[in-house]
Amino acid sequence: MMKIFFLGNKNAATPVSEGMVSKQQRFDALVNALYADIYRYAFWLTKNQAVSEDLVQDTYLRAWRSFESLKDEKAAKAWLITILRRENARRFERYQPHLVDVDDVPVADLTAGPGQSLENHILQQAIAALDIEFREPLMLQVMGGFSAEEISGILDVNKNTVLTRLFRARNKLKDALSDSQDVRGHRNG
Amino acid sequence: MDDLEFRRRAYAEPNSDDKDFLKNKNQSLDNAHFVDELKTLDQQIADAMQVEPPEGLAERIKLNQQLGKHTQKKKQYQFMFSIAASVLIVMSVVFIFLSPSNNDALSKIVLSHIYDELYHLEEDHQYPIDRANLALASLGGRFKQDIGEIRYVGACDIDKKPGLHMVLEGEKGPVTVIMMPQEKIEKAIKITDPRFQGSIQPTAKGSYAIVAVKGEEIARIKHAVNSSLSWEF
Repeated sequence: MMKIFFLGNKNAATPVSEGMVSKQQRFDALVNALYADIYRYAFWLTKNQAVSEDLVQDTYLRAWRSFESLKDEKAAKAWLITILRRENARRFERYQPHLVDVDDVPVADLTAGPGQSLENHILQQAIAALDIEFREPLMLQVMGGFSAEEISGILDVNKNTVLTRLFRARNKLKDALSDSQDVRGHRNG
Repeated sequence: MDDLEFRRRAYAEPNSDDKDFLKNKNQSLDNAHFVDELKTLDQQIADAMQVEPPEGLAERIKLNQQLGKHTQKKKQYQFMFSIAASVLIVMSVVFIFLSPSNNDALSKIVLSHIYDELYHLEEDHQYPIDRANLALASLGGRFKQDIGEIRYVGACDIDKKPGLHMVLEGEKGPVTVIMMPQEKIEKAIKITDPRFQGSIQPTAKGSYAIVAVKGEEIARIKHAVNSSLSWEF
């Protein structure tokens, strides 16, 4: 009985592996095209390099397992982001890290690099300091290139709320930049 | 679209191609400048968000997926093996609990108790049923009516568990009845021995053994015990 079962599996392998090749190729293409965007999304979601890499790995693993559910490859980015957000939520179900306080302190993984402008560094810290409900729509709009309508679908909040949050997010970032310019102005004067 | 709404819209969607918004933007130089400033801010935000992924991440993702595929297969095999193992464990447990070896163990305990106290077979007290009930009460049981002539009755431990040892008068000789309220059995166990014969009978609370020399008719006493015995608590 067992033998027949195993044999059956083996016989079926030929057509399946043909399908696997194209699935594998499509998957590899999806990795090459979007891994950097997905990593960046994970990074601005978690503000931690190591956690982000784990999340991206988990996201692609899950994507591989449910690859059949990706009907339109043009929608792949939104699809991957949706998986990533779910994996991130899962991470919090499994383990509640003491990340709450991190919002108030400079992000360790965002130390100013050589050749980085001060504005760029200040903006990074200001983005990291935004509450997630303001940060995420901005990430989707600026990094993802999604419309307010699409963001509303991904985040499952209504469009007007998305617009309000985007307005407030930019407002805060503009304030952060002009504050730093004021400080520098005073120092120079 | 009033000025306030225009500004809010510019902050929310500086790249909006909404007709109304574009019309407002082109209405004055100030408005156009306002939107351009926000577009510059957007470029700055985009630059700030442009963190570099760790080196070799794409390769690690592909490798992980390849390994994951193998683990998935391995998991399938592990699943099948665990099912097989579970079946084996269940069968072993069933075997242990229902196998003759366990039954043998209890009948051996009963027989060795009888052999150890063979002298009780010689006793001839003619105790009333109340005497038996006095001893049985401590185990939570009672005989509702006579079960025959009682030659001996005494509380004793069977395999370190409290029990009651009785010797009744049979057709040809003494019949031993041992109450074992803590020895639960599913169905009757036959006792065989070169000298004795009998069985262990399940009751509402544990079991009792009924044993006599070969050739003795024990059905009558078994019936008497079964119909008389009641466990009160």
